[in-house]
Amino acid sequence: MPASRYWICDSGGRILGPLAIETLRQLLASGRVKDVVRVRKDSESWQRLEQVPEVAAALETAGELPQLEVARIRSWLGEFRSRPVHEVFGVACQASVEQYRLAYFRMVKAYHPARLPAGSPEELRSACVEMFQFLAKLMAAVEKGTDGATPANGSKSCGGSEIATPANGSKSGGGTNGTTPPNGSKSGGASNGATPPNGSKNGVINGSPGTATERSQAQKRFSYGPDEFVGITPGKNFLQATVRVTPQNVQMFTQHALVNLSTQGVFLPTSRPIPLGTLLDVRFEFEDSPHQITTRGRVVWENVGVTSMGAGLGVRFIRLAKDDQEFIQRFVDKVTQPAPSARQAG
Amino acid sequence: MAFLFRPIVNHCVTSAGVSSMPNVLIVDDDAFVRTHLRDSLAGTGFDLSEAADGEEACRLAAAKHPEVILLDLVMPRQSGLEALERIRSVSPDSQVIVITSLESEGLIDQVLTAGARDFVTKPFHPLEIIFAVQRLLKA
Repeated sequence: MPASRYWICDSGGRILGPLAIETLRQLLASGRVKDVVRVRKDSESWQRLEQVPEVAAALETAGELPQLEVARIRSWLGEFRSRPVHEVFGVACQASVEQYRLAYFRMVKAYHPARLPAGSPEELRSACVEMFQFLAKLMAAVEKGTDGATPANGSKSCGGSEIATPANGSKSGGGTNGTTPPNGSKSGGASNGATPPNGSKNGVINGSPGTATERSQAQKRFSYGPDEFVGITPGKNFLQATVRVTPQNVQMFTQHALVNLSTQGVFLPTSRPIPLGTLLDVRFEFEDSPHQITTRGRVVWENVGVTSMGAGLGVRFIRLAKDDQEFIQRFVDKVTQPAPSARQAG
Repeated sequence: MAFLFRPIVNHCVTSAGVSSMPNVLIVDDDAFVRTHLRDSLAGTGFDLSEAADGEEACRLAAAKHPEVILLDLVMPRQSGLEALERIRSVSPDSQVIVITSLESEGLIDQVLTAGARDFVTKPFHPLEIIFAVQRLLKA
């Protein structure tokens, strides 16, 4: 039996639908859909909200989100204060000011206080203002060339671009339930959203290009290159990327500090330039497993190959089923576990 | 802050063989948003047209077969998702960018599955609109 579909109508007669109940719940929980006066279910006629109990209940329980959102914003703010500017904005470290600007606009609008629904808690408003001001200040520094990176013919260079800790020394940490990473972002993860699942902050993604030897060693350690396993072809509607996941390249889910499995993303090595914002359908095939995962994502990061990671794209998943995320995590855990002899020795 | 852009328009060849500018249809019930979108694309050389609801959008899509349609999701009489379905049937080659203040994984997925090629969330910056349209016209 097909799932029911719902339409909602506000007091101005504006209609949204048809939607699955789960999507409707998400929208109601976001606080941006409040003024619901009528509901239509499948082919039935319009009814008052209270006559469709599942929708009325979803609206009533929509108040839990703000606390989670505050924790998420504060968590990201704390993380961003310790990261190089280009990582905050999710652009290549030599991105042009124009690219910084576009990334900035994408990020900052999510925190504009005017975007909050009327009646939002003061704590949420305050967190948004703090993030908004932080990003605006950072962007102003980029435009002025005072962020530590020297603009040269419109481009930013890398290195030495750590974000200064505010004068008050604040690194407002907060919750660890980070869901939507600010720099691109639609979906949620379960951990702190910035630290790779293995907890590693080994300097691979430190904003510095590194020496040729370091790059070579890192490439060797991670053992994948742009043309090794990512095939990108035009699909029916979107670009289609096919990725064969092996023990040698599984770090694509963990290596990148901001685009990793815990933030519902992946770093795909490829030398093919794909503009930020491009939508991709991605199919993962796993070595020694018949399991395949098909998902959809958006390019939120581009790396032109100046860091030790090599050229590639950061893709944030628009949707990744919980089962699929768990499968990937198990695969990562399995292939990154030390061999039994090493465990014994250790 | 000054933004300088060269015109990004590629000329199109119609069935009559006449070269013309790509048509972009703006669909939103909010006149302010329509104006903002029009302003965003002003100077880029597109042939712009507007519709205030889904029905008008479908009529214009059938008549003009615009290259790109910027479509709101919440509108009177007919929702954006319903309009999207009809637009896809009357003008299958038109590429639709959904512009919405609503964000949820389910909605984005549904919009893309229904045939939209991209989505932009409100409030938007003119650059986002220009880049999104440019991306589709280049594809």
